[in-house]
Amino acid sequence: MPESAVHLALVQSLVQWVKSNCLIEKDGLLLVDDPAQMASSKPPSINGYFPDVYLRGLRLRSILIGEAKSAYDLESRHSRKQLASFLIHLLSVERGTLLVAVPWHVVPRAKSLIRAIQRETNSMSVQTIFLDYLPG
Amino acid sequence: MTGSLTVENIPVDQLDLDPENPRIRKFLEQYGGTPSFDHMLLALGAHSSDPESGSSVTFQSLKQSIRAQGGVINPIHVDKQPNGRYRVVEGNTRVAIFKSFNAEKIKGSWSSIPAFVHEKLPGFKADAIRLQCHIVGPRPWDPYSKAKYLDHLLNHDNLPLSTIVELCGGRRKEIAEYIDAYRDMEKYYRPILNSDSDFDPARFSAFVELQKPNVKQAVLEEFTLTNFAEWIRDRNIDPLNTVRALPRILKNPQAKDKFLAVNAREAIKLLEVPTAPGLANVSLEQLLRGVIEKLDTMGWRELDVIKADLGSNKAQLLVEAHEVLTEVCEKITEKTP
Repeated sequence: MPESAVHLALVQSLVQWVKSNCLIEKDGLLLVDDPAQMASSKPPSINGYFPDVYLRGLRLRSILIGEAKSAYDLESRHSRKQLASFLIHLLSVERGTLLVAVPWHVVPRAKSLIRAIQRETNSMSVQTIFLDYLPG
Repeated sequence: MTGSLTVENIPVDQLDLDPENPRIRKFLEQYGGTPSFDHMLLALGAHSSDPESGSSVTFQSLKQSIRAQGGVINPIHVDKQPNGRYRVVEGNTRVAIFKSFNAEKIKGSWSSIPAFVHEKLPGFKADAIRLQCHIVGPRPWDPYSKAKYLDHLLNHDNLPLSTIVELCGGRRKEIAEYIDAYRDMEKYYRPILNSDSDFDPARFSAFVELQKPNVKQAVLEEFTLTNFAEWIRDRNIDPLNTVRALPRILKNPQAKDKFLAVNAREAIKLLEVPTAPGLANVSLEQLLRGVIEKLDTMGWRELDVIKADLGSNKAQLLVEAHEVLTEVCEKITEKTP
C-alpha cells in the first residue's frame, strides 16, 4: 500500500473509533482532515500543526485529538514536534485525550515515543489511546 | 507462465550468460565487442567489495554461501534456444560462480545447475522475471528477526558459528555482533518492559551498536547493561544513532547529567563546538553555500576519520544536518493535494 493510502486508512480507523466510542451527536463536534471536506470543517491549527481528527466536547470541557502516523513517518522531527504540540494543547483542557493510529508493528515504538514526549513536555496527565491491529 | 515450467539440472557448459542482463549490458556498452568469461565475471562484480566490510550480498559472499551450501537453493531461469543451448534469463551471477568453481577446480558438483526451463520466452515475460527478481525482490527480514534466527541456529540447533558464517557467505564480525546483540536485548531489555507488547524490535540497532568495544566499555565503566536497556526503553538514547556518542557523553560530567535527565541529543549539544561569533548575521543562502563548499572539498582522509568514529561531534552533526535537510527538502518538493 502506498504511504498516502496507509495514512488514509489509519485516519479512517481513527474516525471509526471515535464514532463507536464517543457520544458525538449529543455533545461533540467532530472535525476530520479529509481532502473532501470544506476548509471550515477541518481541524484547527495547533501551534502550526493540523491534527487528523479533532473532537471537541460541547458540554464537557474535553478535547480528543486523533493522529495517524505511518511507520515511515512516526519518528521524524516533524512528527515529534507535532505530537509535542498536541500534548501541550491537551494539557490545557479538563479532559484531554490523544488517540493514535499506527500500523500494528510499530505500536510499541509509538508508545515509547509518546511516553518520552510526555515526559519532556510534562504532559503525563494527558490520556493516550493506541489503536491496535491496524494494517500498514 | 509457470504452467508448463519444469526444473531440470542443466550442464553449465550449455548455458550462455545473458547480454541483456543490466550488469553485463552496462559493461558491453562501455567496452563493446564480445566479452570473455573473465570480462563477464568483472561485469557481474566478481572483483568488488570485501565481504567482511559490508552488509549487502556481494559476488564474493554469494560465492562463499553457494560453496558452503554445495549448490543453490533457488533454481535459475533459462530460455531454451533453437540451437539447443540455454540463455540465462535470471541467475547469471550464480552461473558465473558455478563456472568459476569449475575453472578453479573447487571440490563439489558444479557441472550442472537446477533451472526453470522456459521455451521461446517472450521478451516481456523475461522482463517480468528480471523485474520480480531484481526490482521487487524477496522481502528481507528485519535485523531483529535475522538475529533471532541466527541465534536459534547457534544456540538451539547447535550449528557451529563457522558453519553459519560460511552459509551466510562470510561477514563473521557482523554475524557475531548480531547474535550478541540479540542475546543482550533478550537478557536486559525484555525483562524490564511491562509486557511483551511493549517490546520494540526496532530498538535492536542500539544493541548492535552496543557490541562496539568502546561503547560497551564506556557503559560498563560506571553502569550496567540493564541501565543501558533502561536508557533504550526510556529513550534517553534517542534517536538511536546517538548510541555511538555514548563514550564521549559518559566521559563528560555535564553531558552525562543531561543525558541521564533528558536524552543523548540534548547531551551532545553540550559537547558541541560553540557557534562562531557573527554567524547569526549570515543569511541561510550564505551558510548553505559555505557548508556545500566545505563538504565538497572534504578529502577522503577526513571522511575516513569521520567514518572511523561515528560518535564524534562531526559525525553526529552531519547525521543531524542530513536529517533536517531531508525533512525540509521533502517539504519543499511535496506536491500540494
